[in-house]
Amino acid sequence: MKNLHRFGFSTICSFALLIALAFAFKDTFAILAAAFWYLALVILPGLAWTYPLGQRFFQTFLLANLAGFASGFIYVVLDVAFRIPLNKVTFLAVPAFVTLAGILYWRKHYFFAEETER
Amino acid sequence: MKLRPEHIALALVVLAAFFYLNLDGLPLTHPGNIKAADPFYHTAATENILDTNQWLYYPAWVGFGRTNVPNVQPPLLYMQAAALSSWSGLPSWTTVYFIVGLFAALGVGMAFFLVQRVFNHQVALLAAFALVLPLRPFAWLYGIYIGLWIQVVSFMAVIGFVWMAVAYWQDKQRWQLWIANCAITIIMLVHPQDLIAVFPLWLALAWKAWKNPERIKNILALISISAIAFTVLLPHWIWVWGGRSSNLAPGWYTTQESAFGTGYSGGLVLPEPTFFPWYVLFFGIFGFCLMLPRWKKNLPWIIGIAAMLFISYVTPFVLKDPYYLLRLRALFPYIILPAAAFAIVALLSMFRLHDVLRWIAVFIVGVLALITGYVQYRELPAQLSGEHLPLERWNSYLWLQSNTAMNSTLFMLEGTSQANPTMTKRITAQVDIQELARKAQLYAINQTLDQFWTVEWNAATLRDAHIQRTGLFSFSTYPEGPSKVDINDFDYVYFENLNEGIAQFNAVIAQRLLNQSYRAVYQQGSIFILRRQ
Repeated sequence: MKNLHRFGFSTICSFALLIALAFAFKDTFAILAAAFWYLALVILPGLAWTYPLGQRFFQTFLLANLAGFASGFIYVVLDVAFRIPLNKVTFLAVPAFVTLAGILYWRKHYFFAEETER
Repeated sequence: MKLRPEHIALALVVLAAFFYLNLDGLPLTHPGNIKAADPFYHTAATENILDTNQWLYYPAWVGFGRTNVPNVQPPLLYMQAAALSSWSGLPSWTTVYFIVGLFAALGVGMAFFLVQRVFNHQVALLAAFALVLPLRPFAWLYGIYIGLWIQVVSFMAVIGFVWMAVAYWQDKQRWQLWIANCAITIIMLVHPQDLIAVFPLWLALAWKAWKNPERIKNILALISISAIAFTVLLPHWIWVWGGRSSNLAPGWYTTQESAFGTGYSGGLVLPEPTFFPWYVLFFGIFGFCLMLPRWKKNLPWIIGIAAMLFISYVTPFVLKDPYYLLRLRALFPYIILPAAAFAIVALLSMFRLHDVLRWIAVFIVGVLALITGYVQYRELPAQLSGEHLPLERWNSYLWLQSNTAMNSTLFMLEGTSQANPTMTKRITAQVDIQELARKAQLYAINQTLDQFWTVEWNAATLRDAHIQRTGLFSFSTYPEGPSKVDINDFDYVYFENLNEGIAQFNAVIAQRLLNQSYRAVYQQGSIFILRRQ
């Protein structure tokens, strides 16, 4: 469970960082909304895949942004190849699927291993 | 917790994001001070996804009522922004800008790790300090505050790709190929022309990955995601690129004044190293010279500088119109500033200081660079605070969106300012202000006013290639709207009394239309709209 705690800590740090970043918006609700949804829709899907790589937090955060943003290619596939509508459901289901797949793929590293390979 | 250089770099990323996101000061109420035409197109591209729940085809108003006009704006940034808007409830112009500003800031962090791998921690930290607000910010932040929006995101993916390529060269870990794959996917789906710049390095990386015993797994790690994206979009590439006249046609072109001129926006669109202060350039060149004796170790940076110079100053002579490729010049800070930092750290090492003292010296020089940048930056937000789309006009656009049919035609007498009529989301003909003045003058002289007007059609950039899909791999072209139109042919006519003189002329035109088949349907402040019965 040690690694689960680390994952949680990274997530909270990402959220805190995004709130700090989003302070440029002048509206408190917008600050929270932008930070929360960017975390949920872009960072978490990437974090699920990059966190087990055993990099330090800052590197993981950068890699998670790249991986999470790129995972949006699934939207392109759904829209162009399968003509599935891009709506609220799709926009939540895809990141949720990518996050879950990442966690399942790396489950040994997250939940069962005493130490990650770092 | 021990303070490490990367903690300071992380703080610099936060600081950079704060500066970048504050530049335009976008309101949540309306896309008021979005700068220039391009951001309106980026915002419209995101809105199209939100309005139609798909990206592949434009809504009918873009293609003059056609529903088979493929979207020429690359999908990924707009899809991510639409997802963010959809769930956060924030308007699209803020979510697009948020992602652009955030990625620009992340570039500082990625550059830190890239420089650290090629040189060392001290050079990397100093470069990160300098990159937050590169001197001069008004030039180097242009891409964020005006209109290289999608390319800013793509540029940061370029840096991420180079970082991962260098990392793989050193560590040979497969996950680095996966992330490089993600970076290529981002470039491909955000601004594909930038692939040209990274293609030689991609080939070298593929060769390196292939030489490894686990070559199949490595190649899969490097190309799988981007290959899927490319395959899915292949028909689209053919429609879109097939419909354009090739602006990358090879040849020998000796009169590329536009590639080197400083006419439009003072050269900000295609910035050059001359925008750096002389002392930054001096240290940059000095740093480059210092790299040469140990060229093998510093090879990534030497190649990087050579590549940037080639793209910037050779491609204009061998490609027909490499406009978007030349925008890569906006990445000069990421090449020059680390070279300057390398020179400064090398000079500091001549003093044979204790390591702690050298760190302190690096920190002080870095803070000085940041302060100098901030002094120049702090004027910018105020300079950029003017609105191209005031709330009153925005409210009239919202009325049009809610109360008119999607394929309605709209005639705007005073609406060409920075493409903001794109947000009417209707087939809109715009009268240029000179044409309006010419007509007004003619009317003042001889009291005659014909119904034919010279116009430009709104959202021309979204149409760009003028193609419509006719089959899986086939397309045909369609014409732009006529440049001379009859005002009586339009469903709606939009007036804005910008000043007293225009108000009087508008009243004349409106009275004539009211005497025919039009009636007033909207009036708020200086704006009124007539509708044909």
